[in-house]
Amino acid sequence: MLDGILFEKVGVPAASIVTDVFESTGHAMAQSWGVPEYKFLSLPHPIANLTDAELDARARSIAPQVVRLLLKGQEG
Amino acid sequence: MAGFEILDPTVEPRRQPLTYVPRPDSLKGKRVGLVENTKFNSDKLLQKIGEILKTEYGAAEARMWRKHNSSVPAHKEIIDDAKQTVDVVVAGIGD
Amino acid sequence: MTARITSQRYAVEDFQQALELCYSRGWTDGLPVAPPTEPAVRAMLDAVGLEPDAQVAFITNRQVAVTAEKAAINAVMAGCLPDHMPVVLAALEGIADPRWGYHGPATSTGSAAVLMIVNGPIAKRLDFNSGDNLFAPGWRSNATVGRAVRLVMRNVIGTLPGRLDRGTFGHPGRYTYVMAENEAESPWTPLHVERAGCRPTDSAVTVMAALAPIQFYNQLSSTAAGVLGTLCDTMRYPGQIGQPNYCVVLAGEHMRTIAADGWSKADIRKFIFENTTNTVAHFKRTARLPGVVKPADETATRSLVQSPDDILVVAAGGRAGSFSCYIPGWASRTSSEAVTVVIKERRA
Repeated sequence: MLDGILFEKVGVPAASIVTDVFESTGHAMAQSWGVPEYKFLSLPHPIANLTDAELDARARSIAPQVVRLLLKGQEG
Repeated sequence: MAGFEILDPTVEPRRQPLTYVPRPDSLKGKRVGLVENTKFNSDKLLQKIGEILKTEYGAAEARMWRKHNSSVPAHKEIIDDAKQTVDVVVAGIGD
Repeated sequence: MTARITSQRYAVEDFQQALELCYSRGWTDGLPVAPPTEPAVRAMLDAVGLEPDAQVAFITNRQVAVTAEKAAINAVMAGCLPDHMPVVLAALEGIADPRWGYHGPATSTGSAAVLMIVNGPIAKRLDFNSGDNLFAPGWRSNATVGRAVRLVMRNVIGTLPGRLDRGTFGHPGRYTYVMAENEAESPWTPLHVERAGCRPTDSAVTVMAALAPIQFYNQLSSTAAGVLGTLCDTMRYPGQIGQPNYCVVLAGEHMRTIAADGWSKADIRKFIFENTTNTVAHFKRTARLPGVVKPADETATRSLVQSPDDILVVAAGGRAGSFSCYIPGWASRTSSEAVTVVIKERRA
């Protein structure tokens, strides 16, 4: 999550993804870094024990949001 | 007993100015950087997202970096390299 | 010229109201705190000769500066005496060290606490417990110094459960997790001398991101290898893979048995390192490593830590009892490692 903020700081448009159980932690981290409104994406937790087919489905489900965040940015 | 004062033990985070980078109009021909956080399957999932960005949104390429560990920000080499070689970054994922 | 204390002030009628204010604001660890009044906070600062706005630690990954003032306020709340302040500040310096890597051990679901090992003359002077009931309640220094660091983590660095503290279990060491090495009875070189090149007359605190202590029992052996063989059998099935450090705490009976065989701490570390390996096949079968078991995995071994030096051997614990314990570190060598910091009596 923090990586997205760091890439924005150095001029690279970024989209960060966390798993949903860490959304509150992502928001708290953004707050700690002084950018409480920072937007990021989340996927259902966990992913470590998913099959290849399940990972495909997760990638497919999140891709449009990734594109939107990359193209529209934080204002979108 | 007379009243007294106690001191606040906490701090308020300071807001930092963060100007978000101008976005491209589309991903066509763009180079995508994937920064994976070392958690199991993060690399596979980002790879799959990268593939979709190439095949369905016209991105030119997708290359991946691996962080030292999930609890630290991407290290300087990744950031310097990415600044030079990609146009957008997708970072994650999860535990 | 003494700088002003700038923290927000809250007027209260009495002790009870002060306590309830602290609870209602979420400033405590669940136990009552001492009211942080300006005179008490000022005494903390004076003890180390620091101005309130002096920065005592900076947590890079959180962009948070810990000032002397905030450290002092939380130390008062924890029940510290001004004499404890140098130890609190050294520990804060340790957990802010990039090698300790604050964000990981503080935030991770893996539930590390800050284990603090105090060495040198300050341990005796401030009555840090190094003996019976090592981790038990009853010693002000052990109880309050660890608690002060935890309150700083909570109140200053934002390490709040559910937010930037995601421990699945946590463990009781998160209230306080402080011991001193029993240098008076130990036959061995003290930890701070071995690890950080300190002189024995220096005082130091070693901070390690640590899970809960696990004790083992051996009343039968009269040899070093016998006692440590039991330890290794207990230790070699780790909770996680690739832990950066283990702390081995050898109490009175075992300490004397091992020393009688002429073993140094280096001998102990080497023995433990060599006798706690597991096969890759075992790790795969028990789903600690991914992948199917291949024939070569049956003979390929992995050691518990990268180097014998990653095992911290400490003499401490009760004189009686055929027990010693080990304390697993958190996560991996690239994520966090134990850091030893010299305790400076005055900082200005």
